[in-house]
Amino acid sequence: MKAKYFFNPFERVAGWQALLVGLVMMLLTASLALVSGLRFDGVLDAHFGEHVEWWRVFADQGINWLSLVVVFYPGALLFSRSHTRFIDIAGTMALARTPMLVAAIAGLPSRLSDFISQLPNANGTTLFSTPDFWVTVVLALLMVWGTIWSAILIYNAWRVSANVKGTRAGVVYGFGLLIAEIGSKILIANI
Amino acid sequence: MIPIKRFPVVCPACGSDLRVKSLVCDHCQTAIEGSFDIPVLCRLESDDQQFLVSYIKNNGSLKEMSRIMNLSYPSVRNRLDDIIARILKLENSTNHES
Repeated sequence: MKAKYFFNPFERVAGWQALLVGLVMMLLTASLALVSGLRFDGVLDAHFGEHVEWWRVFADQGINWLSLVVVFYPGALLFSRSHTRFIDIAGTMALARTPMLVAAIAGLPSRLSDFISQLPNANGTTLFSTPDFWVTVVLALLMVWGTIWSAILIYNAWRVSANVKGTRAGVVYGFGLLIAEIGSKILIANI
Repeated sequence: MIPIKRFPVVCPACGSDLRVKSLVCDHCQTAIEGSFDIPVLCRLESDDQQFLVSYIKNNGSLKEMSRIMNLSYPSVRNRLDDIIARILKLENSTNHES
Protein backbone atom coordinates (compact mmCIF):
# COMPACT_ATOMS: atom_id res chain seq x y z
CA MET A 1 0.00 0.00 0.00
CA LYS A 2 1.37 3.39 -1.00
CA ALA A 3 2.23 5.77 1.82
CA LYS A 4 -0.23 8.38 0.54
CA TYR A 5 -3.15 6.01 1.16
CA PHE A 6 -2.00 5.77 4.77
CA PHE A 7 -2.92 9.42 5.20
CA ASN A 8 -5.54 9.66 2.48
CA PRO A 9 -7.39 6.36 1.92
CA PHE A 10 -10.40 8.37 0.74
CA GLU A 11 -9.14 8.51 -2.83
CA ARG A 12 -9.97 4.80 -2.91
CA VAL A 13 -12.60 4.34 -0.21
CA ALA A 14 -15.60 6.54 0.64
CA GLY A 15 -19.37 6.32 1.03
CA TRP A 16 -21.02 3.19 2.46
CA GLN A 17 -17.83 1.13 2.29
CA ALA A 18 -15.93 3.67 4.44
CA LEU A 19 -18.89 3.94 6.82
CA LEU A 20 -19.04 0.18 7.38
CA VAL A 21 -15.28 -0.12 8.02
CA GLY A 22 -15.33 2.99 10.21
CA LEU A 23 -18.22 1.73 12.35
CA VAL A 24 -16.51 -1.64 12.90
CA MET A 25 -13.29 0.17 13.90
CA MET A 26 -15.24 2.41 16.30
CA LEU A 27 -16.85 -0.64 17.92
CA LEU A 28 -13.41 -2.24 18.30
CA THR A 29 -11.96 0.99 19.72
CA ALA A 30 -14.81 1.28 22.24
CA SER A 31 -14.42 -2.38 23.25
CA LEU A 32 -10.70 -1.91 23.95
CA ALA A 33 -11.36 1.39 25.74
CA LEU A 34 -13.85 -0.41 27.96
CA VAL A 35 -11.12 -2.86 29.02
CA SER A 36 -8.42 -0.23 29.62
CA GLY A 37 -10.59 2.45 31.23
CA LEU A 38 -9.72 4.89 28.46
CA ARG A 39 -12.31 7.46 27.46
CA PHE A 40 -12.46 9.26 24.14
CA ASP A 41 -14.19 12.26 25.66
CA GLY A 42 -13.87 14.55 22.66
CA VAL A 43 -13.20 14.33 18.92
CA LEU A 44 -9.43 14.35 19.49
CA ASP A 45 -9.27 13.35 23.15
CA ALA A 46 -8.17 10.19 24.92
CA HIS A 47 -7.98 10.23 28.71
CA PHE A 48 -7.77 7.68 31.48
CA GLY A 49 -10.42 8.21 34.08
CA GLU A 50 -12.82 6.47 36.34
CA HIS A 51 -14.56 3.38 34.96
CA VAL A 52 -18.01 4.32 33.71
CA GLU A 53 -21.02 2.39 32.41
CA TRP A 54 -20.21 0.45 29.23
CA TRP A 55 -22.74 2.31 27.12
CA ARG A 56 -21.04 5.65 27.82
CA VAL A 57 -17.79 4.35 26.32
CA PHE A 58 -19.67 3.32 23.16
CA ALA A 59 -21.67 6.57 23.15
CA ASP A 60 -18.35 8.50 23.16
CA GLN A 61 -17.52 7.02 19.76
CA GLY A 62 -20.93 7.81 18.29
CA ILE A 63 -20.95 11.39 19.62
CA ASN A 64 -17.42 12.09 18.37
CA TRP A 65 -18.24 10.79 14.90
CA LEU A 66 -21.61 12.57 14.68
CA SER A 67 -20.07 15.84 15.92
CA LEU A 68 -17.71 15.75 12.94
CA VAL A 69 -20.53 14.89 10.53
CA VAL A 70 -22.95 17.60 11.73
CA VAL A 71 -20.21 20.23 11.49
CA PHE A 72 -18.51 19.26 8.22
CA TYR A 73 -21.62 18.42 6.15
CA PRO A 74 -23.13 21.92 6.54
CA GLY A 75 -19.56 23.19 6.02
CA ALA A 76 -19.49 21.40 2.67
CA LEU A 77 -22.92 22.78 1.70
CA LEU A 78 -21.74 26.31 2.53
CA PHE A 79 -18.17 26.31 1.28
CA SER A 80 -17.93 23.70 -1.48
CA ARG A 81 -18.80 24.36 -5.10
CA SER A 82 -19.25 20.63 -5.68
CA HIS A 83 -22.26 18.50 -4.94
CA THR A 84 -21.26 16.80 -1.67
CA ARG A 85 -23.05 13.58 -0.72
CA PHE A 86 -23.97 13.17 2.95
CA ILE A 87 -22.89 9.52 2.86
CA ASP A 88 -19.38 10.56 1.77
CA ILE A 89 -18.95 12.91 4.73
CA ALA A 90 -20.49 10.34 7.11
CA GLY A 91 -18.42 7.46 5.72
CA THR A 92 -15.05 9.19 5.46
CA MET A 93 -15.42 10.80 8.90
CA ALA A 94 -16.16 7.36 10.37
CA LEU A 95 -13.07 5.89 8.69
CA ALA A 96 -11.00 8.91 9.82
CA ARG A 97 -11.54 7.76 13.43
CA THR A 98 -9.73 4.46 12.80
CA PRO A 99 -6.36 5.70 14.21
CA MET A 100 -8.06 6.01 17.61
CA LEU A 101 -7.82 2.21 17.61
CA VAL A 102 -4.02 2.69 17.88
CA ALA A 103 -4.59 4.91 20.91
CA ALA A 104 -6.94 2.31 22.40
CA ILE A 105 -4.37 -0.48 21.85
CA ALA A 106 -1.61 1.68 23.38
CA GLY A 107 -3.85 2.24 26.39
CA LEU A 108 -4.40 -1.47 26.99
CA PRO A 109 -1.30 -2.29 29.07
CA SER A 110 -2.07 -1.21 32.62
CA ARG A 111 1.40 0.35 32.89
CA LEU A 112 0.28 3.56 31.23
CA SER A 113 -2.83 4.13 33.34
CA ASP A 114 -0.93 3.06 36.50
CA PHE A 115 1.87 5.50 35.70
CA ILE A 116 -0.57 8.36 35.10
CA SER A 117 -2.48 7.57 38.31
CA GLN A 118 0.81 7.77 40.29
CA LEU A 119 1.73 11.18 38.86
CA PRO A 120 -0.12 13.41 41.38
CA ASN A 121 1.71 11.86 44.38
CA ALA A 122 4.95 11.14 42.58
CA ASN A 123 8.45 11.81 43.72
CA GLY A 124 10.02 12.89 40.42
CA THR A 125 13.36 11.12 40.68
CA THR A 126 11.98 7.74 41.76
CA LEU A 127 9.08 7.69 39.30
CA PHE A 128 11.11 8.65 36.26
CA SER A 129 13.90 6.21 37.02
CA THR A 130 11.57 3.18 37.07
CA PRO A 131 12.02 0.64 34.24
CA ASP A 132 8.40 1.26 33.26
CA PHE A 133 9.12 4.89 32.48
CA TRP A 134 10.35 4.41 28.90
CA VAL A 135 7.66 1.84 28.10
CA THR A 136 5.13 4.38 29.33
CA VAL A 137 6.69 7.10 27.18
CA VAL A 138 6.45 4.88 24.06
CA LEU A 139 2.80 4.00 24.80
CA ALA A 140 1.94 7.65 25.43
CA LEU A 141 3.64 8.67 22.16
CA LEU A 142 1.65 5.98 20.34
CA MET A 143 -1.57 7.49 21.73
CA VAL A 144 -0.49 10.96 20.63
CA TRP A 145 0.44 9.60 17.19
CA GLY A 146 -3.00 7.97 16.84
CA THR A 147 -4.64 11.31 17.63
CA ILE A 148 -2.46 13.26 15.14
CA TRP A 149 -3.04 10.62 12.45
CA SER A 150 -6.79 10.90 13.02
CA ALA A 151 -6.60 14.71 12.70
CA ILE A 152 -4.79 14.32 9.35
CA LEU A 153 -7.40 11.81 8.16
CA ILE A 154 -10.26 14.13 9.18
CA TYR A 155 -8.68 16.89 7.07
CA ASN A 156 -8.35 14.61 4.04
CA ALA A 157 -11.87 13.21 4.56
CA TRP A 158 -13.21 16.77 4.44
CA ARG A 159 -11.00 17.79 1.48
CA VAL A 160 -11.90 14.77 -0.68
CA SER A 161 -15.60 14.53 0.24
CA ALA A 162 -16.31 18.22 -0.37
CA ASN A 163 -13.67 18.89 -3.07
CA VAL A 164 -12.22 21.89 -1.26
CA LYS A 165 -8.65 23.03 -1.69
CA GLY A 166 -6.07 25.48 -0.39
CA THR A 167 -6.74 28.13 2.23
CA ARG A 168 -10.52 27.58 2.18
CA ALA A 169 -10.05 23.88 3.01
CA GLY A 170 -7.59 24.65 5.82
CA VAL A 171 -9.55 27.47 7.46
CA VAL A 172 -12.91 25.65 7.42
CA TYR A 173 -11.19 22.51 8.71
CA GLY A 174 -9.61 24.43 11.60
CA PHE A 175 -12.85 26.07 12.68
CA GLY A 176 -14.88 22.93 12.02
CA LEU A 177 -12.62 20.75 14.12
CA LEU A 178 -12.70 23.28 16.96
CA ILE A 179 -16.52 23.42 16.90
CA ALA A 180 -16.77 19.60 16.71
CA GLU A 181 -14.29 19.24 19.59
CA ILE A 182 -16.17 21.69 21.84
CA GLY A 183 -19.57 20.26 20.87
CA SER A 184 -18.51 16.66 21.48
CA LYS A 185 -16.98 17.51 24.88
CA ILE A 186 -20.17 19.28 25.99
CA LEU A 187 -22.39 16.41 24.80
CA ILE A 188 -20.22 13.72 26.38
CA ALA A 189 -20.06 15.60 29.67
CA ASN A 190 -23.85 15.87 29.75
CA ILE A 191 -24.99 12.37 28.81
CA MET B 1 7.13 1.99 -31.80
CA ILE B 2 6.21 5.43 -33.15
CA PRO B 3 5.69 7.91 -30.31
CA ILE B 4 2.23 9.51 -30.17
CA LYS B 5 2.52 13.22 -30.88
CA ARG B 6 0.54 15.44 -28.54
CA PHE B 7 -1.81 17.84 -30.28
CA PRO B 8 -0.28 21.27 -29.58
CA VAL B 9 -2.72 23.93 -28.39
CA VAL B 10 -0.29 26.49 -26.98
CA CYS B 11 2.52 28.28 -28.80
CA PRO B 12 5.85 26.87 -27.54
CA ALA B 13 7.50 30.26 -28.13
CA CYS B 14 5.16 32.73 -26.41
CA GLY B 15 2.51 30.58 -24.69
CA SER B 16 -0.44 32.05 -26.61
CA ASP B 17 -3.29 29.85 -27.84
CA LEU B 18 -2.69 28.29 -31.25
CA ARG B 19 -5.23 28.27 -34.11
CA VAL B 20 -5.61 25.81 -36.97
CA LYS B 21 -4.35 27.27 -40.25
CA SER B 22 -4.59 24.31 -42.56
CA LEU B 23 -6.52 21.02 -42.81
CA VAL B 24 -5.66 18.27 -45.28
CA CYS B 25 -7.69 15.29 -46.51
CA ASP B 26 -5.42 12.28 -46.20
CA HIS B 27 -7.39 10.47 -48.94
CA CYS B 28 -7.39 13.01 -51.83
CA GLN B 29 -4.87 15.55 -50.49
CA THR B 30 -7.39 18.44 -50.65
CA ALA B 31 -6.12 21.22 -48.40
CA ILE B 32 -8.24 23.87 -46.72
CA GLU B 33 -6.58 26.97 -45.39
CA GLY B 34 -7.99 29.55 -43.03
CA SER B 35 -7.95 30.40 -39.34
CA PHE B 36 -9.97 27.99 -37.27
CA ASP B 37 -10.53 27.86 -33.51
CA ILE B 38 -9.41 24.74 -31.69
CA PRO B 39 -12.51 23.36 -29.90
CA VAL B 40 -12.44 23.67 -26.10
CA LEU B 41 -12.47 19.90 -25.57
CA CYS B 42 -9.37 19.52 -27.79
CA ARG B 43 -7.57 22.10 -25.65
CA LEU B 44 -7.86 19.95 -22.53
CA GLU B 45 -4.96 17.77 -21.41
CA SER B 46 -5.03 14.33 -23.01
CA ASP B 47 -5.71 12.71 -19.59
CA ASP B 48 -8.80 14.88 -19.21
CA GLN B 49 -9.93 14.04 -22.75
CA GLN B 50 -9.55 10.32 -22.06
CA PHE B 51 -11.50 10.71 -18.81
CA LEU B 52 -14.36 12.49 -20.63
CA VAL B 53 -14.47 9.89 -23.42
CA SER B 54 -14.62 7.11 -20.85
CA TYR B 55 -17.27 9.01 -18.86
CA ILE B 56 -19.50 9.41 -21.93
CA LYS B 57 -19.00 5.76 -22.97
CA ASN B 58 -20.16 4.76 -19.48
CA ASN B 59 -23.43 6.69 -19.86
CA GLY B 60 -22.21 9.49 -17.60
CA SER B 61 -22.16 7.19 -14.58
CA LEU B 62 -19.69 8.34 -11.93
CA LYS B 63 -20.31 5.10 -10.02
CA GLU B 64 -19.25 3.05 -13.04
CA MET B 65 -16.23 5.34 -13.54
CA SER B 66 -15.21 4.87 -9.92
CA ARG B 67 -15.40 1.09 -10.39
CA ILE B 68 -13.31 1.18 -13.58
CA MET B 69 -10.71 3.60 -12.21
CA ASN B 70 -10.60 1.90 -8.80
CA LEU B 71 -11.16 5.25 -7.12
CA SER B 72 -13.79 6.41 -4.65
CA TYR B 73 -16.94 8.17 -5.90
CA PRO B 74 -15.95 11.62 -4.54
CA SER B 75 -12.46 11.32 -6.09
CA VAL B 76 -14.00 10.71 -9.53
CA ARG B 77 -16.58 13.48 -9.02
CA ASN B 78 -13.76 15.85 -7.96
CA ARG B 79 -11.87 14.97 -11.14
CA LEU B 80 -14.96 15.82 -13.21
CA ASP B 81 -15.50 19.06 -11.27
CA ASP B 82 -11.88 20.05 -11.92
CA ILE B 83 -12.31 19.37 -15.66
CA ILE B 84 -15.52 21.45 -15.69
CA ALA B 85 -13.60 24.29 -14.00
CA ARG B 86 -10.86 24.05 -16.65
CA ILE B 87 -13.45 24.09 -19.47
CA LEU B 88 -15.09 27.21 -18.00
CA LYS B 89 -11.69 28.87 -17.69
CA LEU B 90 -10.86 28.03 -21.32
CA GLU B 91 -14.25 29.33 -22.49
CA ASN B 92 -13.73 32.56 -20.54
CA SER B 93 -10.27 33.09 -21.99
CA THR B 94 -11.66 32.46 -25.52
CA ASN B 95 -14.49 34.97 -24.93
CA HIS B 96 -12.02 37.59 -23.70
CA GLU B 97 -9.80 37.13 -26.75
CA SER B 98 -12.75 37.44 -29.16
